[in-house]
Amino acid sequence: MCLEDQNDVGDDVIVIGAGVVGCAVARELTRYNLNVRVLEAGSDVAEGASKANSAIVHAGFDAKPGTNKAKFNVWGNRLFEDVCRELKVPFRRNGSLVLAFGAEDEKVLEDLKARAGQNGVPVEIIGQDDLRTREPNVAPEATAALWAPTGGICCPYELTFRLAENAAANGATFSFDAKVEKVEKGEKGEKGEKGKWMLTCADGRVFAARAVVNCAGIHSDELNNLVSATKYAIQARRGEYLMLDKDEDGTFDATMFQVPSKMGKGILVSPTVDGTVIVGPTAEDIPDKEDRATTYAGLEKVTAGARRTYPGLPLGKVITEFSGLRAHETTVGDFILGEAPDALGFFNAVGVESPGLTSAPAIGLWLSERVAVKLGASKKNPQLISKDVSWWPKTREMSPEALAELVARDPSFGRVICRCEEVTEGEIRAAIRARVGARTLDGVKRRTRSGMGRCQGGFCTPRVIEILGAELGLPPEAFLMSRKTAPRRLNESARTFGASKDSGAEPLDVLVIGAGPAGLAAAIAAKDAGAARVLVLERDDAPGGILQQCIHNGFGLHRFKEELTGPEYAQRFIDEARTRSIPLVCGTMVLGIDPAADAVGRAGLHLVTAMSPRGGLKIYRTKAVVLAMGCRERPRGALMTPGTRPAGVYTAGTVQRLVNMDGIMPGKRVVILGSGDIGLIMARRLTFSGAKVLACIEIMKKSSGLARNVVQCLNDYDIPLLLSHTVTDVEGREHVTGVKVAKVDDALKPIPGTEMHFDCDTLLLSCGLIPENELTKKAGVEMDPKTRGPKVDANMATSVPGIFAGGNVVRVYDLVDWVSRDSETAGRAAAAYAKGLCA
Amino acid sequence: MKTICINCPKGCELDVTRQADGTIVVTGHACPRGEAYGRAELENPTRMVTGLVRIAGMRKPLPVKTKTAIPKGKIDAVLFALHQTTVQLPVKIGDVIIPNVADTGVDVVATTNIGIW
Repeated sequence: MCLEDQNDVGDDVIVIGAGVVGCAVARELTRYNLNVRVLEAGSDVAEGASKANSAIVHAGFDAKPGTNKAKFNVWGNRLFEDVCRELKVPFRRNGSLVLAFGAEDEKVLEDLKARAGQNGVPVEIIGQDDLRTREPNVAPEATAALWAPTGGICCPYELTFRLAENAAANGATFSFDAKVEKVEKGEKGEKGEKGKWMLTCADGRVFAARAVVNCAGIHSDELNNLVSATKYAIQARRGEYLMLDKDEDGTFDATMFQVPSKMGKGILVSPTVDGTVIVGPTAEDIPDKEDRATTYAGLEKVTAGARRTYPGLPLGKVITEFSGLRAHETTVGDFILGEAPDALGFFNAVGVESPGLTSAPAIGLWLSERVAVKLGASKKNPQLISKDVSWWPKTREMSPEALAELVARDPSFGRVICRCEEVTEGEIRAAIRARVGARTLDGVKRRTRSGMGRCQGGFCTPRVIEILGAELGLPPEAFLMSRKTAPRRLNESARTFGASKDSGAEPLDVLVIGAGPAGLAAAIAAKDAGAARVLVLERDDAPGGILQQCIHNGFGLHRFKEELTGPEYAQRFIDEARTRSIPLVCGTMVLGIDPAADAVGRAGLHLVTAMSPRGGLKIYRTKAVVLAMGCRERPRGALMTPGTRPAGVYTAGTVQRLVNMDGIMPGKRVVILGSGDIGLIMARRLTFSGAKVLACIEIMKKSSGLARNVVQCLNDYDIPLLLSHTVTDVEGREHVTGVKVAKVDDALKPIPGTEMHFDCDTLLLSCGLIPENELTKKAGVEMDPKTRGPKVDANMATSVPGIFAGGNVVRVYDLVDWVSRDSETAGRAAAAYAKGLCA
Repeated sequence: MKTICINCPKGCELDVTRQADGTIVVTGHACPRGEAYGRAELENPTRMVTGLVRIAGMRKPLPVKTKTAIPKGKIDAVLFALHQTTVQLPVKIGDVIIPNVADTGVDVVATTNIGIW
């Protein structure tokens, strides 16, 4: 009965909406002898509320007893563990705490406890001492709490994706960009399709089915209202969130709620299965069902609310902010589940807001059974049901042994593409090749976490679009145009102490991490100072570091007394290293440094674990290490600029790589936020390449870049520099269409009435650089909070004996000439240290 | 004329004036390069141009520069010449890509090695 042509008629059931509820329903429907199709208006699964929510598996103590919300929450919570195990997605029952701040709140806790009893949810009230023992970072003002041990956390988009994969493995078909606009009953006599539901999409495609399940989230009311006299109305209720860096992992173990009060529902602070911390949401009714912009007011509310729970909330650790829309049904106020009374064969999942994620497995079971009964469908033989979820190995969670074996089998799992989250090329390819595979940058991001870490895609974007292009046969820039078309982290010491083979019998004298200007200078100086065995490990495919993309002049005036471009400056050092036969090993990512804490047991040797596609996983033993990993750009998230999150927002350095190395122009009309040197340089570069740079916006009273760059990059080309201004709104749903800019006062707050608007297709961010010190911290090196680099002495020695550092990893330099000079100091000192060990 | 020297990160603020006898006096500079820059800004401002040219059969472009600074007024003509140029590999640093670009008397040269190891 299943017809090949999707324009023809022929499915048993069509599920509208590929969010977590739609995918859960579809998966359960494939357990029956039914042909199942999922129609999704967006271009991927989890494009609506499923991609932007609190990621909480609620215990179910607060839903009003007797409602669908209560029933499906508690039922779904019980199912969650098994579903996540079957689908191989992360889930942790970390428990939930509802905080009370004073006697009035404590009364509310009692009410909640009574409600929990009615719902059959185990809870207990704990006192202040117990609370502080469990959660030492909680505000001292919290006087008591309700403890619900069955609360949990999960990854909502990974869950949705794996539900879809398993549904597809069992025969469900997914059709994307299929926005259903018309729902009607087939007329009698029409090609034997009497009584079938005929669904017409915006692009003209028509689908037919004997039954329809409406899981259209925020738009589910509109679909119901097309067929039923019982009208529903969904109000979009926006929630804004902040995400904190993995540095904050462990701040709280449980999900921290607050009692609902006059001030609103309260802001939660929760760990995530990925090791970040989520903070939010606000609750704001908005008229536009597609408006996922963040706002100043919202983010301030989140911050203020979260500080009641977590007074130490560090805004410097924010990596991104986002908002999601709850589908709040206003006439019933509950989940509306089941067959519409006057539209037989049309099933609803309307108004599924929180606790919708928790309830999804239960809703899937319950609705699929209703549909099967209606259609008289039998259950499939359980042995014929595929358990496949298109699983692929996550290299960041693997043991060194398993990883080494995997890379030997498939070298693409040895090439790290996203350095923040340690996502490899093999994982990205697998995500694209899956049944319901990634087709967009966002699709790759949500399936693999590539681009979800603290640099927010600044490093991996050019590489991911290259892989997407190669896999899907499209030019890489196609993926820049639009957003359309936990397991616990691996124990780091286990990773470096692992049983992988040592790389060689004789230890190195000096191992340098990074072959940029700092690393090359350090290696050369170490060699010249008498270190016999020097090795440089580089993550990129070629040496030179960031200088490769800095094709402008202005380098080397002090060092070489002439004005060079970045690649020329780098080449001089590369040539010097070659003359000395210093091995530069490229395409190799260092995963960890295990310092020589026990000098006796290991003869004072540091162990450095590195991975590469060709070499697999290797452990290098070395007497001294020079850290030369450079720095990274501050991403948009760290700036907390409100607005939508469209394509077309990049850090200046990412665009520098795209334009200068990959030959890709991201846009034609550009606004630059921040006047850092890379932004200024890119203003000129983009002008040279044919783009119109409309303005450079700087929040401070003077440019953060060098005066000479303001002169030769902005003034020479009449590009206005707007000092004491900032971007107050980013506009555009799919791609940037414009930005709002306003003047700021002395407190750096936007002044009302000073807004101006720029029509642009690209926003560049040039708001500073941060030393890249994940490895440094992992190695236990003492950090300097001011520079955000390691503390070093005059010899560039860090607090760990035998570990030295040079270049932008220590602090952000203005001039590469000084990077070379100070890194040479580090190299010489490392060589001397290695010699001392020999003696 | 007031201007900011672009030779180094210091960014000296220069004051450049032409005396009645035609001689040019530069003040505010910290080094001889600054003085020369100030003088040139008044008489014949020049800039180094760095840019990209196409490589035959590749998406990746080749970075290039004018070997020395060229008159500011010629920047557009140089950019146009770069845009018209496609090179064949291999290329190494210093290879002349466009001789006497836009009649400036200055060559455009490659600033990186591609296809050479």
